[in-house]
Amino acid sequence: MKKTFLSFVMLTTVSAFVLSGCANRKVTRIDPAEQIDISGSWNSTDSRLTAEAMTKQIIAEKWLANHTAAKGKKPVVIVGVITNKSHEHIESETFMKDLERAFINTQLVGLVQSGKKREALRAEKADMQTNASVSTMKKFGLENGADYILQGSINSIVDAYKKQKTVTYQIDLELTNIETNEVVWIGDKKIAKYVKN
Amino acid sequence: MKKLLVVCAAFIFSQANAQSTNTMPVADQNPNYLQSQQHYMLIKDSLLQNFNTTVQQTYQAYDWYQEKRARKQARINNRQQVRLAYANNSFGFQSFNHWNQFGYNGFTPFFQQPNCFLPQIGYRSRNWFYWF
Repeated sequence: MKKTFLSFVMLTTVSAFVLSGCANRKVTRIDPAEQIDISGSWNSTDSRLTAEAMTKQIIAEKWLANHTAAKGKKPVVIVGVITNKSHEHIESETFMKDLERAFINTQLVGLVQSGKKREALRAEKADMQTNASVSTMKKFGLENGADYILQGSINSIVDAYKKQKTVTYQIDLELTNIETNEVVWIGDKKIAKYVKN
Repeated sequence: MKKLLVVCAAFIFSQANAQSTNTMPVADQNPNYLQSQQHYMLIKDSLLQNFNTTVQQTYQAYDWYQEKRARKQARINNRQQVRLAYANNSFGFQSFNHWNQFGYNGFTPFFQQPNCFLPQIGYRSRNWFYWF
């Protein structure tokens, strides 16, 4: 019995060593700002470059000064639909959030919630009408109306033959006055890549 | 009765007043703007549901190298399917010959079978037991 038990323990130990030897995966933490291109597809560096370019353009352009001069207060922006018409799955939230953060941090542009988050806010407000105390209950009809809507699109051009490929991404963002439909700003970022397999 | 009429009149007047406040046209406003407003009031929920999201309308780009790799993988998969089909029909029965089809009894003489020269036993057929 003892011999069987010892054999079992030895076998388990040897198996553990062998299996741990087989696992050669290595994971290291990297700086999110570091540029690492593996497949040539859209990656975090592209998203970061887009966010930086768009933030720089939208804060520096004339539409902001024009609005402040005309209305005497900072503009309020709502984020609309971003359409990805490229050949890859690209989630625009990764760079749009950087842009929204810049609006809030610089205090130059006001931002109102949209989409599903706004629905959740209204649902919470509705819940308050029956459950919150009168002094803390938030009222309907007092939301901040947006002056401008931010919409955008992502396009790509692929040219590939044999083991060579070029991919060009074009990200366009447009800011439109909601009342007059006037487009007051268009920002774009082009990223071109050459991939050799 | 008189009191009730007064209350009704007051209610109707207040509603009309609220409507006129909401719909008060401003200078240079299109007089037919209510048509558009009513149209979009009905469909606004469906139009706003994708706000602050990325609508994915991606397309399949042609990549010569990727297509070549895909064709190679398809050939590998096809060969494996053929091998499996041979392995599953290693007794001389053909799956597409049913009993008494066109007066045929379903059995094919060995040398008329399409796989008669392939090994009926061994690694390719995965048949190690019923070799007799």
